[in-house]
Amino acid sequence: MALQKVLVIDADRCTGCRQCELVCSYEHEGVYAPTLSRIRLVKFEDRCLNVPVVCGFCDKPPCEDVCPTGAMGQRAGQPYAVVREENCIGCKECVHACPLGAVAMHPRKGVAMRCDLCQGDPACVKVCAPGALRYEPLDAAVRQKRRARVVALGVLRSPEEEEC
Amino acid sequence: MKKEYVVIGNSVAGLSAVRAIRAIDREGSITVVSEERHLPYSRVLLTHYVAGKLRTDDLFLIQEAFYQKMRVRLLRGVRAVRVVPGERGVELDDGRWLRYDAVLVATGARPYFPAVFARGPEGVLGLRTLEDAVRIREAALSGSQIAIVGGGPVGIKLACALQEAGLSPTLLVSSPHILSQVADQEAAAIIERHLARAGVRVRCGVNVEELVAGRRGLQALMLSDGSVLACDMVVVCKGVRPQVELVAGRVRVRRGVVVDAGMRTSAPGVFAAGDVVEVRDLITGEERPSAIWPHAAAQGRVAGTNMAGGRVAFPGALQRNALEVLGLPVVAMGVTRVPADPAWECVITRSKVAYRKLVLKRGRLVGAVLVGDVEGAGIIQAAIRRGDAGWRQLVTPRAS
Amino acid sequence: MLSIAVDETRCNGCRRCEAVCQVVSLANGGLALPRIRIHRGEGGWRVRICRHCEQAPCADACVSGAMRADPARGVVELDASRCVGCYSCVMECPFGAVFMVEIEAGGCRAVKCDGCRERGDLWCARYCPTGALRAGETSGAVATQIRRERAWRLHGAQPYGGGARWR
Repeated sequence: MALQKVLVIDADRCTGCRQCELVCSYEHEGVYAPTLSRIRLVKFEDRCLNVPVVCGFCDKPPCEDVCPTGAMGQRAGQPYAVVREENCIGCKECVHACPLGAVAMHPRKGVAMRCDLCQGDPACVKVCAPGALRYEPLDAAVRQKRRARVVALGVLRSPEEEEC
Repeated sequence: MKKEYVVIGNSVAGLSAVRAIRAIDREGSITVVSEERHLPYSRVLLTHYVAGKLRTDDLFLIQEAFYQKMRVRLLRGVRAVRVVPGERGVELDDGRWLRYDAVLVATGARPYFPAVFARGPEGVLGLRTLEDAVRIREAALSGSQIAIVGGGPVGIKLACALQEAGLSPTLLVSSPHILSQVADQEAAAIIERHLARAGVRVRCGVNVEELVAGRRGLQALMLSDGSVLACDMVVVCKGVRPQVELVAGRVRVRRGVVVDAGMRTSAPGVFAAGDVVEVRDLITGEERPSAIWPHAAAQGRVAGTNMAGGRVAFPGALQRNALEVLGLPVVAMGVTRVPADPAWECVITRSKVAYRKLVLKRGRLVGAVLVGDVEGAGIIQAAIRRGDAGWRQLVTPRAS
Repeated sequence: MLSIAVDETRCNGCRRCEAVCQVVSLANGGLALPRIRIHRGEGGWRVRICRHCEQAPCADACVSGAMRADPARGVVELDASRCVGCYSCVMECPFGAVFMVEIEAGGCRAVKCDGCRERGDLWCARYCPTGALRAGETSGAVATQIRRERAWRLHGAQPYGGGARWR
């Protein structure tokens, strides 16, 4: 089921401030603890590259396919998947299956942990100052990228001049 | 503020809860109230003890040092008589009053005795406690004639155990075949033949109508087919009933203590887990007691975690049994008996050594019965839990 | 807990893992049989090995206390001396990773992967030629490594930004 909105990652804008990790862990666990965050930052310091890693909400999710108990799946009526912790046995198949590396094990509960979009109002997006995280319809995200590419190729002066 | 936890009941649900509480709360005080004096032991293995395959020491799940290491106060041979949710306290039979922030009711279940056995003479017992098992074994070793009533897993395991202890026991079953609540007719027939070959006498379609007692207790059973069975001990294995007396009237109780998915009862701070509760069956949706070992272990863990402030849930009961009948393995899971209805389908593979049946409802796997070859039973269980539609790869018994 | 990554799509059925496991089992004083099994499945190979689950259903179901999670060693441990051969763990394991073997004294008992470690790697993973088996010491460290590898592949290893980068 395609999502109306997607969580868009722009690693180029990410400054590595980790506010997303802190607010995510606070929202879900009540503490500021990056290891309890569903979004995780990966730094490649020698490349000056910071990459926020979070669930991509695949239409054909490998994490759901490999889950032996059906714990990883969508709840009826909701467009995104959650970990049904009561069914999770902590086998880590989803951790290995995710092509983005977006699933981890909850260090205390021993169950899988992944982004649940904060019920449709993702907290990480709200605190991301550089705008590396956006939550927007896929159409808008693709259009913006397309425009940026065209600018980069030198066809247009800047995206701001075009408003159609 | 240190939390105070009280756990009433010291079998697998209580033990599981204690571990779960300590995993989260290292400071809170935990008191375990155990009516039985013994340390927690495996009730499931009592038949192994009767058979002579295990000694009593082998039955215990933990040593005494566990309680010191976990800093748990264990009150042995003490019974809780009242839980008062309004005052957050538990009254004990020695007059003591225990205050709690969270209490777990894990009082288990007791054997059910049909009316004919209710006021029986000496020689009528169930098989639930270590004391029961010791009495049965002593009787077996002294050459008693022992009859078993009940064709469920416990009755069958006991019959096998007595056979292994050197007796020729008689198993009396009221249903037309054994395992009537657990397996289907064909599986039951295979198992009955296996038992017969081993010298275990199984009589189906027979009820006990009267107990005949003599000077020294039980002498014989008068059966519904007109026959008389001489015996000096009868073990009634007709299931168990939740022991809800402690909280009846104070929390919601139907057949068992009613709990939500977090094992919370209707009273704040009062949790329940194990054979005493009733839970939702994953396949049928029915709320009922489902007194099997893995449920008690999982429910105890959920209850303990939530008592200590966690937020986990028990997914629901999946009725299942694994037993080994004199070398013949048997696994039954989910719905195994199928109504005559086009929505239901059975996929059966038979071989010289095996009978394997998958049960599908509207194309989705809801149950299985495996006899003789239980290879991959867990894979089938996972498929049942997911309600898989694909079953082909589950059918083949042990190949290469 | 120990983290074992099984990629059945890479398995070619060579069974080198079974051979090595059997040798190691015997060398450690155990039975001469593998605790990892390869089967033909629909369209490929099935690898049956214990995942050392954090909430192991086999440990919950074990009626004799033989099957226990050992967080210090990071494995789900099976104490053969306590096993009574009740088949409960076989009924629970969604990976079919527990195998029953007959014992000389009569009856049977369970056998499963014991999480052997040889210089930080499981023997089967060391010998797997295709990378179908990879083991990591703890789930946390493994997730971090996976995240890093995949973030690099998607964002770092690309010349002008690549497919996954939004500009």
